[in-house]
Amino acid sequence: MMKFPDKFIRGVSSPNFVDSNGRASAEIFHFTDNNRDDGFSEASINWYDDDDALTLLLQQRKDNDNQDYQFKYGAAILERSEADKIMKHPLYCDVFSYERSPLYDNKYHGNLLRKDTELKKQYKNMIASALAMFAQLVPRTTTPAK
Amino acid sequence: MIATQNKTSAHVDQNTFNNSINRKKVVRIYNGTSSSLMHPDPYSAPLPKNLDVFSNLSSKFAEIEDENVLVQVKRVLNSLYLSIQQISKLKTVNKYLSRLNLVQQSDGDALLEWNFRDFRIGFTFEPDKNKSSYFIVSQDRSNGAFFADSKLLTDDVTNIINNIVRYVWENV
Repeated sequence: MMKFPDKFIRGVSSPNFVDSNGRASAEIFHFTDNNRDDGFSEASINWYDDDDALTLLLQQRKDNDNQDYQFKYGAAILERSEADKIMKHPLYCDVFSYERSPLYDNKYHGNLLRKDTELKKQYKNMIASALAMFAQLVPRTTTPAK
Repeated sequence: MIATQNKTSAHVDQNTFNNSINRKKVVRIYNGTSSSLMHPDPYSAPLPKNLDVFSNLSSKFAEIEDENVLVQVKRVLNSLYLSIQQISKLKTVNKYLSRLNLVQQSDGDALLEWNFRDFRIGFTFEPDKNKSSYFIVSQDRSNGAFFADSKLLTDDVTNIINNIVRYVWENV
């Protein structure tokens, strides 16, 4: 059985992902349909196996000429137990999950998974909003708490 | 649809709402008032700054792609304005309400977020107004409970908004 650490990290790539109160917007958790066979859409995360998971995420660069930081506005850290609460909710037990999905250059990489094909829009937004409620924002300028 | 009913439940009925707003409380009035550009009812008095949840929203209107969505957004904002104004006249106003956040989503829908520390209220506006909805997610830190519920945004917007504002008022 696959093991997961207690926390995971989602990068914040746009200022619009933080509301005017300084709280995470549901938009941080935008899921992308990558045509998976199982019908799940994905939102990339790094599993917080150790502090390097956050360092690696914050050092990630865009593939453009300027090589800007991918996550210019920092990161959102969540407890896995919070995601488990959503997963165990009767509305979402079969339509929300997570996985490890290591990349050749990022062993921490994983995905939050949402079965968008089976969800009305209101429930998609609810999952994103719940995740955002649980998120602890870490601005790029501060040292992340472990 | 309701998994865990806890003390921060979104379920509120009209009687509770009426009883609540009829309760007499000491009113402490804030002197500062907002000069926000965004007032759904431009002829109404501005809200106190601590209750002006509409700051910075007007610039977001231009981002809304669908006219039907924009009409629905403005209708909800108008009801929110009137409800907050009404309740602020009857109750203590020393609370600070989070500002609303309006987001144009990639599929043409719009999301209006009202984000607080332990709960969030959202309105999902779709071009077909019969599919538009609202939701609440909340957590109870004392016992770790998670609550989530959603309903369609029916034509009874005023009543829905009054109940939401009352819930916010009592839980913020």
